[in-house]
Amino acid sequence: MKKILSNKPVIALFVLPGLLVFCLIFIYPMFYTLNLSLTSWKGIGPKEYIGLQNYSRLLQDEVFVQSVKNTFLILAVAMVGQLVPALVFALLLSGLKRGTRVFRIAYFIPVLLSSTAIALMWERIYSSSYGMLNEILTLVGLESWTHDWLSDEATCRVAVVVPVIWQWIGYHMIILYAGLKAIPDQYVEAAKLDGANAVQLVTRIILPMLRDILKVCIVLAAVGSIKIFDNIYIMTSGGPYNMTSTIAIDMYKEAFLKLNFGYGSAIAVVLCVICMLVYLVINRLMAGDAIEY
Amino acid sequence: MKKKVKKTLLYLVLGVFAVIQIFPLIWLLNYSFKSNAEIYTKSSFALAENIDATNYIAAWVKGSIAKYFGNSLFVTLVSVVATLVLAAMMAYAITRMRWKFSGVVLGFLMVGMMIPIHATLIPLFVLLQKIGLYSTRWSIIIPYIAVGLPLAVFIFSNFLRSIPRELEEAAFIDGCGIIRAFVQIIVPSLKPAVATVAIFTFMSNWNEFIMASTYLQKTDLYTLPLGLTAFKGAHGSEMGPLAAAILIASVPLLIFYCIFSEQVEKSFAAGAVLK
Repeated sequence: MKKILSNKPVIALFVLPGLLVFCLIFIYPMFYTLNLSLTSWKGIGPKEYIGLQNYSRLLQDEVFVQSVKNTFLILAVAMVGQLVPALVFALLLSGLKRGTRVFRIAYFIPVLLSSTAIALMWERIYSSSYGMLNEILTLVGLESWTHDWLSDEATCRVAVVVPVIWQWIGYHMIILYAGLKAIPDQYVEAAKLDGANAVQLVTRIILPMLRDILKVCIVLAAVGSIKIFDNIYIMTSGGPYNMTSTIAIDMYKEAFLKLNFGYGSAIAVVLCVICMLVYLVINRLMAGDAIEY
Repeated sequence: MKKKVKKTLLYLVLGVFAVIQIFPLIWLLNYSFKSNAEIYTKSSFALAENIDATNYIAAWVKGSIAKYFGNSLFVTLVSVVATLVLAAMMAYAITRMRWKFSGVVLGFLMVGMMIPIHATLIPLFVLLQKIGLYSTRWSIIIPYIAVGLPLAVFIFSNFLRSIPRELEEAAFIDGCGIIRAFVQIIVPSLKPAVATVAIFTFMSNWNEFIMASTYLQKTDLYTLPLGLTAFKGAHGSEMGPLAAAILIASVPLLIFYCIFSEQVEKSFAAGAVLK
């Protein structure tokens, strides 16, 4: 038995193809990005190493600084906007005995749409000509509010976040709902018998038991916001005046529109580091022993 | 009485939220049946005058959505199948076979789950050009496989740990070779995990945008997410067909979800575990 299971050629046959693809697409490029970030390479000719100049340039790059600010603004708004309603609706839904399937399907459907579909659809909603939002405002007598939501500096940032929130609420709700369903009834019943009211029940019993799953949602929402690219790039390309640019959009533009591969790589490295840091911070803040039940 | 009021209120709140989530899609569906004349002269909430396939045919044929749909199907299916096969083999070797580095390889893959693909975008662009795969279907199929692997290996490994070892050990005693045991005994028993992995991977790959837009230059190779933006660029003023195109791109997943909702939700919940 042992001999069969430690058959080296078979192990190699099973592991190497996948590992090779993985290293070629993930590991090797990661180091390559680090390397490129130290050069001024523009895609052709020999690479010239310039030390950390790209990184010091980032600090003075107004577009990049603006993009970082925007990304963190999106992070904050999207986290609260996604997770609070998701938790509330998961709680409400878990109180129902029947009919949850229809609601779950309705909430989850936006998750299945591609970012392109969502971006193009919301473009139609926001459009100044024949858009749904302006039409609703006109109907309720707020005609003075109507304008082109995506190109107006005052509203563009809110306008690009709303579709993201709209899309992902259902995702978090489904995860949280599954978590709520896994909490054994006896805990909730016992608390009720002890005279706990609804608020106490949620804050003292349910949320602590849901901590691990909440953490997953928080990480997903945070990392997802930091990496955000598609929806916004398709709707605004980062405009007007980089008001909706994000780190990923800035990286993409530097690398693939301006062909600044070296500088773009530095942005990619920063993006990566921010992702890792946020991940670590959340883990640290929400650390604690795993709860088993 | 009070309980009944509370319950009605609960349904009302849940219902209103459901409408908010669904309404843009229904609005779009209505839109997709309208002619340009209707769109430009009437309220966007007015019901479409004729429900016919004009816009859908325009999108499918004139807007090349048929071509993009085929591309998406090919790229997604090939990458999902390859992910499943490679991941099942790796997971089996990692959880069942005896070798020194099994833990290291698993950890290595898990680290990969935390790396944003953005960090690999530029080097892959250079690499793909060097090896001549740039702007071929493989320029996105291979990255999709790599992106899907960590989660797939993770789910398969967890599942394999729940299958008793006696299952293949009995076969070994009967003189069955390891590869045959893997194909004939392990693979069939992986079925529930295969569904979980396949659904999640299929949906991510079907909707993927950033790599496709970076590595596919030829319009002929565009997948749907990219095709939709191309469609908008070329036929920007034809709102009806654009709405139809968006719906065509989304409908396969929506129908699949409505039928297998429990399985899809399970798959997405599993997909969230480690990210």
